Amino acid sequence: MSLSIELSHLAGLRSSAATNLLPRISSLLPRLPEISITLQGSPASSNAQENEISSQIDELKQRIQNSIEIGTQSALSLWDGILRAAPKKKVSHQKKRQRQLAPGKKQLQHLNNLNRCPSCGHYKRAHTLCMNCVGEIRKYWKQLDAAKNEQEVSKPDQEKEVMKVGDSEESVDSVDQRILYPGKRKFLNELKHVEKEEYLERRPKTLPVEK
Amino acid sequence: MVLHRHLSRTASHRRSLLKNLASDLLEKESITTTWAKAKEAQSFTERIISYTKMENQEKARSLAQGKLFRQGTTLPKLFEELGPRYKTRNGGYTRVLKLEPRFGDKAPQAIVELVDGEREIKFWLCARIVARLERQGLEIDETTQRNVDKLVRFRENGEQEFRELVEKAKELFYSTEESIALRPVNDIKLNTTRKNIVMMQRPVKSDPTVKSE
Repeated sequence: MSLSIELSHLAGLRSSAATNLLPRISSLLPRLPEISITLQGSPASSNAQENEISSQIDELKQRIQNSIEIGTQSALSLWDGILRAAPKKKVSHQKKRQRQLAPGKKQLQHLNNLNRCPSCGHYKRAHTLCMNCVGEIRKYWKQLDAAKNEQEVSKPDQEKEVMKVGDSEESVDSVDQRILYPGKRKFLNELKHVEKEEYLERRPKTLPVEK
Repeated sequence: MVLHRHLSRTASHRRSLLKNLASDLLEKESITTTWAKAKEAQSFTERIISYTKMENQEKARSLAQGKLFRQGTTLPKLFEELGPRYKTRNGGYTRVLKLEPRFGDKAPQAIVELVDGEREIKFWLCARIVARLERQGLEIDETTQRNVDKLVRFRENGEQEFRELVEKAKELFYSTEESIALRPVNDIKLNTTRKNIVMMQRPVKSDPTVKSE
């Protein structure tokens, strides 16, 4: 009695497992759209069904042929998204250091061509001008040019004022003038330009030559 | 055979680049570019300046015209100002001075300047050096003296101009005691050879035979 029950129980289990397993396997298999190959459970198959399967295989062949001709993707893009080239292991500390530090060319080289700048006493490259001293001279030249430009600009202004007085135009109150002519509004990029000193990289002054 | 740099340009592009550089140089008397362009611009400009010494001035003008832009300003300056200035010189009208590499792309930079100009950087730098040495009460060394002599030789009122500039440099750059605090160091050899530099080394493994304690 007990045996029969067990057997029937087992049989029931087996049948349920078979039905459960089938969809799982199909989900693991690669999905080819629009092709459905029906698996027939019964051993005896009719000729009509065989014909149907062979026609489906023919269709699959044609599809593969087409995809090869187009050459966009591999004929059977089975493992896309599953297997990619990737490092198998993390590069160890030792190997990383060997790679980066062993070749001498990759490391910073010593500067052997250093001189003393005779006009500021700091280090400079040999056969090269001292950027600090050149910069100072250029800065002075810029100041000279700016002063020259200001003189040129201010001259015609004075003439204009004289003209205005001569014409005896209506004199505008300073408050009125500010309201009437508020001046140019500064745009964001112009404001940024004012803050240039903060973000602009400047050449640092070299070290002094001292014993 | 003279080999020129291609400067990564087609022939027409290169030609107009050189014309641009030469025109700027003649106008401003000093330009800053990359070193390779500076060397090319130097030879190109020297040739243009040498046209001013040709006997046939008409031909010289037409030749220079083909190698310059903005002929309204450059040509008169070339023939009326630079020609007389370099009458006594046989070549060497320009000078190329190396600068530190450019920020960003590390391109080697250089200054090209016309010799004996008003704002000649070498003239100003030499004046600075002399001013500093005088403020420090030191003798002018051999190299500086040679440089000064070279700079003053063909310049009109050269020595006088140089003296004025030295006095100006004292005011501008060496008015404070801080600015002349660093004195030349004769003891250390500055052109360091590889031997003199202490290379960064890994700490030497301690000898197992010698025990510290």
